[in-house]
Amino acid sequence: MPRLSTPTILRAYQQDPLLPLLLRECRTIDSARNELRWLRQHALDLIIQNEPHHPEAPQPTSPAPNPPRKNAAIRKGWRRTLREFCHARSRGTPLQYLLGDQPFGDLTILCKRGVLIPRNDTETFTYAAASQILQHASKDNKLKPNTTTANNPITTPPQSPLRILDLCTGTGCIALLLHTLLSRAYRTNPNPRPLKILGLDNNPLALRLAYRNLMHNLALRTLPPSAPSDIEFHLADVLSTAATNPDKTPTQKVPSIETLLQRIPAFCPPSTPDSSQEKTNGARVDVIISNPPYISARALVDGTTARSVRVYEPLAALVPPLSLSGGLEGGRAEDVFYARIVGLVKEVGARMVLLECGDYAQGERVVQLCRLMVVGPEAGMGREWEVKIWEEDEGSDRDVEGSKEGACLVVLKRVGSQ
Amino acid sequence: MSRTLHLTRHTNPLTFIPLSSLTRRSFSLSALSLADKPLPPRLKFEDADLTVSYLKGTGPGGQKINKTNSAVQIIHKPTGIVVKSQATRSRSQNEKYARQILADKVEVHLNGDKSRAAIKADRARKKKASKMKKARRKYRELEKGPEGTAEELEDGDDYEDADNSANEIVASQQSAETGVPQGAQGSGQRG
Repeated sequence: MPRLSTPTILRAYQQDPLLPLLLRECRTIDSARNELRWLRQHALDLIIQNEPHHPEAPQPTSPAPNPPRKNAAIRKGWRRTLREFCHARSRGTPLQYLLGDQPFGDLTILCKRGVLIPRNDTETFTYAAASQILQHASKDNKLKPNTTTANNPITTPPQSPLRILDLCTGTGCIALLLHTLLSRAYRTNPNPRPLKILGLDNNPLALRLAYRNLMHNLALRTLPPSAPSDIEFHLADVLSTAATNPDKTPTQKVPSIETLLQRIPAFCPPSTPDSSQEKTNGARVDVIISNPPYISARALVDGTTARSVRVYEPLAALVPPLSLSGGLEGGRAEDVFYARIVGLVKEVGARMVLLECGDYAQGERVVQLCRLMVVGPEAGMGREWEVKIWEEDEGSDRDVEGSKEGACLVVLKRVGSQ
Repeated sequence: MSRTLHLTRHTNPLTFIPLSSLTRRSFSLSALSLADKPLPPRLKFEDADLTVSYLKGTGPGGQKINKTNSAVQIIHKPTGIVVKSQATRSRSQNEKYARQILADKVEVHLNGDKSRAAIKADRARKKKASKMKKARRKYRELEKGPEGTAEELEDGDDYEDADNSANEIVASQQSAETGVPQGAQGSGQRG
């Protein structure tokens, strides 16, 4: 990271004495000014919230909310709060932990120390995932009626829900945003397909926060009222496989994905030995989406990972556990989660998998992994499955520089009707 | 608008309204009715004409860093106008703002003086000019003396109020003439 130049620091100080503090983390005056604005607003908001004895504070229904707000702010020391915020920020505390939330699409995701903050990239990828899922589902629907009506025209009306598995859900941001995006798209549909989204994490703290986020966004009306019945968050260990689980079951409290799926009715395999469902027997999940920990132990310390992230965000959400090879011989430790998830695809009968990767090199490795484990080695045989790194369509219009450096999304989907 | 309401409320069919005040009112009404004319509609964009991009810097992304940059940039391809917004932490909010700004800019580019923004600015300017003119006239009349003030203030919303206030002013003027030293009065006249 290049040093901040003295003129920059002086210029920042002239604008506001607090700006140089923020500059340490923001690096540019513009972004420091933005953060200062947001922090100031938050400091003012906090002052108002912390005045329960004040008769004007708890009643925002009064016609003119502005005058009491100003008075309260002047009365109490919001400047001191702001200064504390700026000092904390200069030491690297993430802005989202100070402010308590992070916008994610139209949602507001609460953030707490100990749970990874949702990233902008993940937001972009979730939008991409939603459109991919919709495309895929519409294709499926075009294919399906022909085959199913030919076999059994009676049992078609009750539509099977779209079952989505969000692994390593953290704040629950992907699961929640997917629900809003998909249900919004289905709203125009006269015959909407029911949604079932299951978010899994091995951290109880994260799960509690995910539930809080569900309720928070429900209260904000950014989530549709059907969300609580459609979304579930459960404790599960993504890495522990069914094979390794039996020896550990007495001691291990956290179930593996397989054992957990059996407990949830919507994700249980259909028991009806129907002729039409024979091919997709054991299909318990339609879509798997995940933003697993993907930073390598080296990238954590070699300067590519920001100090703020390294010091303040949970290590377990950043770097996969080193002790586990994930059943991947010769594979890299940071790809452990991908190996496990791709291995899960056939077992649960998923038709689409969306995986966020740290950079394009890792993305390519995951694509190779998918070819190896799911698609099959030959291109001619690869008709049934398709795997690629997702690209934004208007590639020529985007700023091209640096696009190969950031995170990417690997999309694996079943294209054949088989 | 409020003036019309006052007018209707205070006129029952039996009261006599002097013609001069009526004409004056109608003059002010015509000036206000300008604001009632609907503005030209907001511009709607085809999505194909826009390039929406989220500005992200170079270097590593994803979990490795936690950027707070949520700036949204929109390019309107037919005109080449570029708009950027970093007002909030939310990208979707920023995009909404950027679209609004872009709509105004493109409209100004296309329609010039007849655009929404230009008309709004024009109205604001006219309103301010008329306000200042009224203020100037009021103080000019105040300086002139009691007769002028009373006449002028008939323009106000309520006759009785206007009369009362005029009387008050007359009283204060008288007191000023008697009580206040000459130097202060002189400064008042200058101002």
